[in-house]
Amino acid sequence: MDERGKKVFELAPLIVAAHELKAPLVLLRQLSLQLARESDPEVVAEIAQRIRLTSERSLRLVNGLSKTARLEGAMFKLEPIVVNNVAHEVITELEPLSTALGQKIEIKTRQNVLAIGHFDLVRTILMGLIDNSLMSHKTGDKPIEVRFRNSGENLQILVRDFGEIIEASRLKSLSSRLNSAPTPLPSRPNSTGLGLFVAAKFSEYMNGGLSVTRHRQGGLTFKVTLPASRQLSLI
Amino acid sequence: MKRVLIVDDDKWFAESVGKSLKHKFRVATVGTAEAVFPAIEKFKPDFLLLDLVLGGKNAVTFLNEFISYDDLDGVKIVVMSSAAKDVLREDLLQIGVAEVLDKTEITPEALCQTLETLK
Repeated sequence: MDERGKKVFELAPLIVAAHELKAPLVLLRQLSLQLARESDPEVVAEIAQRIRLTSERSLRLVNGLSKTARLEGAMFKLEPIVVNNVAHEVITELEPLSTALGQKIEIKTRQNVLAIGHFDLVRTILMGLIDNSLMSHKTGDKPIEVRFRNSGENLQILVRDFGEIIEASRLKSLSSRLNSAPTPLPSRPNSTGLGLFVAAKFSEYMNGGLSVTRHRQGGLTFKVTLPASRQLSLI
Repeated sequence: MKRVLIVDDDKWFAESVGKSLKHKFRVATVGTAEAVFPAIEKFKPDFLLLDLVLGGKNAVTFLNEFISYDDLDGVKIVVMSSAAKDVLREDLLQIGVAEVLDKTEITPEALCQTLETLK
């Protein structure tokens, strides 16, 4: 790669981040223009709610991104955490957004599942993956599903949506880049490659990983693998 | 009243733009390029307000398909995208796009004015 090529490659994450943050900013601008012209109190309240939810979504992206910079200094202590409780908390926090988008999210587990990780990082991962699914999930009867799979050694967190399917070749290319640079999801312009990049970085920091599979019926499953906690038997 | 079909995968953005046009145009919205042709059959728009970054088929593929149908000559395409500054305006105009607008700068008044000028 020549010097110019290297420079572009180095700047790529920054360009993707800038592009991804542009979308909510454009929406905020449009909503504020609409708000200035609106007098119906009900419509005003709805626009205000959309402005709040869009701002919160953008802030989550920025917060996740700024945390990745702190990973280098190993500032996050890893310990046993109850992952399904984290997922419940994330879903509760995202409820206003999912309701406004007409989407449902379901957790499929009846028992506690534990992993070795950091509460805040796992929370940010789940927030990014579920947010991503919310933005690309086709509104319908099927909810977005959060499931867990314990293999004894590892715990898998699976987030399944029913959004646009992506081509196998593009999925392969996305999978190989998840951890190296924010990569926009082909066919899913509203979903955030930035959120996935953050999720991949945090999973890796906690000695795990992030992968993605597609479904013939449409949609994707994002899979986070973390070391399982042996304390499971004590709970 | 002229008809505008908004093609944007951001539902809230499309709704908001639609509301700002409703006093002068009849408006419908779709979220994907695949949904455009059935919507054209049903809604018979005069204008297509098209985002460049769409789910499914990309906008360039869609544009090439659109311009290949001669019965759609009467439908004017206005591209409205936050990537407007990153694309070559001349290239889009050359393939038949009537106007290219920047989502990050356009106001409801300017949008109405543009569409009225193109009528």
